[in-house]
Amino acid sequence: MSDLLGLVIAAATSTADVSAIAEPDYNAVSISVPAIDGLRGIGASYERWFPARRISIAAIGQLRQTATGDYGALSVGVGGEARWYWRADAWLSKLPAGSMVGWFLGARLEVALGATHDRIDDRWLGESLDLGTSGLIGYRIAPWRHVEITPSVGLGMRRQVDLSGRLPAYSRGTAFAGLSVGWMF
Amino acid sequence: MPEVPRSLALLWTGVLGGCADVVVETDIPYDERFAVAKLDVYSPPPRGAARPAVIVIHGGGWREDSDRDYMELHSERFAQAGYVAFNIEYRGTPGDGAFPGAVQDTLCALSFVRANAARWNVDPDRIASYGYSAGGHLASMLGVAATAGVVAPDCASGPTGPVAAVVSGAGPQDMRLFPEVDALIDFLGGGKAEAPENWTNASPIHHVAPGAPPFLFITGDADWFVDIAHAESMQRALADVGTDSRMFVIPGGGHLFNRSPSGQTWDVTLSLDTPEAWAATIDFLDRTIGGDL
Repeated sequence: MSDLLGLVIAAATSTADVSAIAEPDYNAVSISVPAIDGLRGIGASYERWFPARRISIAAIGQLRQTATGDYGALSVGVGGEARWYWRADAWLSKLPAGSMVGWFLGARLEVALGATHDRIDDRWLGESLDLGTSGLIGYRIAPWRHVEITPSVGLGMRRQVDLSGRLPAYSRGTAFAGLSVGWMF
Repeated sequence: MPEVPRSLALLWTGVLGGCADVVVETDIPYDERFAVAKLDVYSPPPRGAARPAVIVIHGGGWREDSDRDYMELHSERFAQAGYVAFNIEYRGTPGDGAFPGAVQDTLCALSFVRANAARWNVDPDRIASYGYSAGGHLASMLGVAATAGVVAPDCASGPTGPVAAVVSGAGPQDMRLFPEVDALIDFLGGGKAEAPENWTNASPIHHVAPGAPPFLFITGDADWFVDIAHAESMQRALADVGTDSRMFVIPGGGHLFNRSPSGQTWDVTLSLDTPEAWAATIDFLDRTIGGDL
């Protein structure tokens, strides 16, 4: 009996050791659910993990159709985001402690260039820039293998700039919710 | 000295620069009988010729706890673009804003603006209505129901004719398409069986007739509150009487949520507020009532 108990303890200790020394994933590629919602666009990000500081840096890209009906519009967006995963551990996560999972605080900068077309009169109505700055909080889980799911919420400022010069720039605040799904490696 | 590209100069001034000189006058009563019947005026820099104007109407389910503050930025932007903007308040529900109260108030506001056009240097024949959700409904009513007896106002400024153009953002056009939810029951004074005439008379589509002004509909095709069918059916009705209208649809756009610039989030943003919707709106107004501004 004591041999069996010793075997169980040894096995458990062994598993814990393997977990403790396992390397975290340093990269993540994610798809933004809001970007593909409506099936008229795609948005993705690449995130790089710096475990010593528990910080990640992400690059974001989006291509989206932004108008249909009697108008057509296309928007190309890019952005950057920094996140601080202060615990780097998460409930439901299958990845070792020290991975970019769990609660995080983030800051995001983003910009989109869009162009609008009047289909009935076949006229371009001009281009615009849509700039955004945001602060956010989120929680990433990795419930199965290296799959990650990341909901987030936050507050931000948006500023529109009409490159045709017809409209003055326009700023407003906003609240938001995000959701991404990806693969860590 | 090298010439700075125009788009780069615009970007620089747009990102960092200030705004034109807009004069704002607040809390001007347009119907002395009701304390809430007030409007704010956003005037562009003065000039000799009369300017076109926009009646700006907020949404909020016709509820009295919603107010016009949310449309301040829209009104200011219209003024910066050369339009005199009138951001109006109206009676809501529960209370005496139930149909036809809120519609009568918007008509009174329009009538008041026309009666006082000289005060703000407005051309009374070049006034458009612009609103979102319940405000989009009221904006539509200003276009097609201004002379309907069932909503005839009895305010001091008297009855008036329709606006010259309508921008309806996610505006209900046919109340009969809705289920019997509280906001509708309160506004229409009962369910479909109890107040069938109100469900019909409060529907802009019921009042469409030859001579209706041009419309711009702005809506998301994933709007769960005001289905795109409202705008589509209204556009067909307007086409049947020979009225020009345009449909601006945001793919995947909702009633209150639209995408952030990089598509990472759902922002709390009206469909009217996307840069592309603004481009379509100002182009529509310039073509219909803008003249030389």
